Amino acid sequence: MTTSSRLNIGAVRYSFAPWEDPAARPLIRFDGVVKRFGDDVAVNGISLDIYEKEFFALLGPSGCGKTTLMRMLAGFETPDAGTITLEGEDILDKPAHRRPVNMMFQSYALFPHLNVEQNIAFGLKHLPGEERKDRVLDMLALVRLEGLARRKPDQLSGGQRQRVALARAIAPRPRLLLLDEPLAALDKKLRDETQFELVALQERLGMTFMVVTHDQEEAMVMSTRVAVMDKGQIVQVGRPAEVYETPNSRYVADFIGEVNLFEARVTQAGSGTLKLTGGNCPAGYEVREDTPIPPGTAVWLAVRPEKIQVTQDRPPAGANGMAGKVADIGYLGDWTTYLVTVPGGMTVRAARANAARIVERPIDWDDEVWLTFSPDAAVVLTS
Amino acid sequence: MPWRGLPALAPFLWLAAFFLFPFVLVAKLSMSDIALAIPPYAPRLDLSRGLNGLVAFVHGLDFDAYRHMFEDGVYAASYLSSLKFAAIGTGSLLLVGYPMAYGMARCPPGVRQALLMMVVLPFWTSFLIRIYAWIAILKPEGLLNAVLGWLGLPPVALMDNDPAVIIGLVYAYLPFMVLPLYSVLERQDESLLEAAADLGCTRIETFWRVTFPLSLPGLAAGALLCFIPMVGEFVIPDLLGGSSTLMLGKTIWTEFFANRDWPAASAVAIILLATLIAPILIYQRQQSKLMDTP
Repeated sequence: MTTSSRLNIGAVRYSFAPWEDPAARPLIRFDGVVKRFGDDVAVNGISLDIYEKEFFALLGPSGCGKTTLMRMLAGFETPDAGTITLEGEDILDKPAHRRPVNMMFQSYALFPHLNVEQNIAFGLKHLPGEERKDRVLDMLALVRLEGLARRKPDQLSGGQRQRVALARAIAPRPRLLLLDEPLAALDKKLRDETQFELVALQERLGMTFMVVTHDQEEAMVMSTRVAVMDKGQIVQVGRPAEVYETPNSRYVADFIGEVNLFEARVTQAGSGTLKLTGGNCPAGYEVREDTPIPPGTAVWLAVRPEKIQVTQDRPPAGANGMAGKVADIGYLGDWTTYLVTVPGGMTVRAARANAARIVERPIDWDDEVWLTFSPDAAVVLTS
Repeated sequence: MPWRGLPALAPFLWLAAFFLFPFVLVAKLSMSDIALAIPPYAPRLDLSRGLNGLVAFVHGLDFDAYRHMFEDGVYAASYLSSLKFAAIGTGSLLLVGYPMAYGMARCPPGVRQALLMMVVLPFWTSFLIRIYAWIAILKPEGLLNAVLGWLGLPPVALMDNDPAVIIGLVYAYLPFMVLPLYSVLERQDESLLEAAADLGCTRIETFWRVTFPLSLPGLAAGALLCFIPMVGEFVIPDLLGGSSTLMLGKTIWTEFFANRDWPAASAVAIILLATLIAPILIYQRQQSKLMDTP
């Protein structure tokens, strides 16, 4: 794939936002869905719309209910309350084998007694012979496994098995493809490549994908929208960039990426800016915030490490600056992470891209440094 | 260290002492001739005469017992009849044992253990007593006919005939069929069944397209584990079968104790073993394949 077409796809993706169009009808609608296992509430009243051609990610730690939500869509679990509709039609009374939804299993669940070809053809028994053969060939070409059609699953590598599982799930042309931790079993390098391949494939097929993952990077790279889940509920839904840059709670800020959370109290609310005080920054903070928050409110300031500058020079008065001492330095190659202890004992994480090839470090362990962030960098969180 | 391999010898010594040595004795017996003596066969190895004794002994061996077997049709009939009983028995066991094993494997784990116990439990009483119990059930004035009479149904003749032998075989060998089937069905990956349903299979289609083909190794193991010993079965045909029931085990017993024809009995035993080697080897291969797959 050329760079230009990928850029083009990026532009198309950005303009794609059916969830902002009030006239658009969702492909899938969860409405007040509840699922209990004994005393545990796995899914606690979820309402969610997923639109045609979306690459939707359910993101959350294990046990947050994301897999249960997906399994209810596939028909392996029945909700205790609420409805799930596909194109406006209730699918809950349909058994799994009659739903136009296919799933790619985390374990891949390839049939060990069948070869690659037979695995892919498994869901195509309704097609006449010739058409079935053509479809299998198409699928083999799509996932680049033409030479391995006669292999049994145990003769394939992990990456090849993953592609067979994908081809098998796509072959019946479902209205919605569910992917349960699709990349969890692959090693890092392969995972990075496959992420982009999955996106390209989804766009080429024009199919709607819903992926369940605990890996935030996976969700961010692949999806059009991410739903962050916690304890059976959806905490925030939005574009990856929205969820990362404007998290709506400490949970989301903390779960997606790294974040520094400063305790603070609003002292003055002006037009578009807030002034705050906090133990870590004796001089006080100034932050851009459009929603008015009354003075006296206790809030959290969330600042991403890459938005904090580490300098040896004292910043001008009025800037969001705090003095500190370098406690640790983590050199990651592309990034360097500084752990800086600030007044109040808190350790702040600041990251700096290693844009130039500097082997010598200007800042070293135990150096006295200044941390600053711009008024735009911080998100004010009240919950 | 030269002694390190020593423990590995133990199974070989065991086999040599309790299989190879008796086998050589039986093979030797089968090549002897019947004689009016104690024990009732000739030649006998006289090692006090040294090498000459050994030469005379080897010259005395022949294949008369085997020739006799091919000439007398009763042996072939008994042989075929044994195979037939074992085949019908194995087939019936599949029909009875597969649903049992399948049902057990689908139960919740706690119940599974209890059911497994119930399948194995009869082994804790004497085999002979259990077969005698079947006589009490099947005999003309036995339990079964009493129940049938009470229900107003005509009595059935299920004693001292071939159907009685089949009932006995199915009863006695059931665990050998159920356990290997259960072990493959129980460890079948649940997500494969979900994947099949996801790809449009009803439960029945899922069974025939996924569950059944994947249980074939267990099915083969169970079938061979039952078929092999059934061919040589003696107690069940002797106690439940009629006078016309022909099975090799009975034939060997008759030759040995009634006719005092030890060479003939041994020859039957050797032929039985020779024909069972093929299924035994298949069973071994099946087992090692099962061990290889995690």
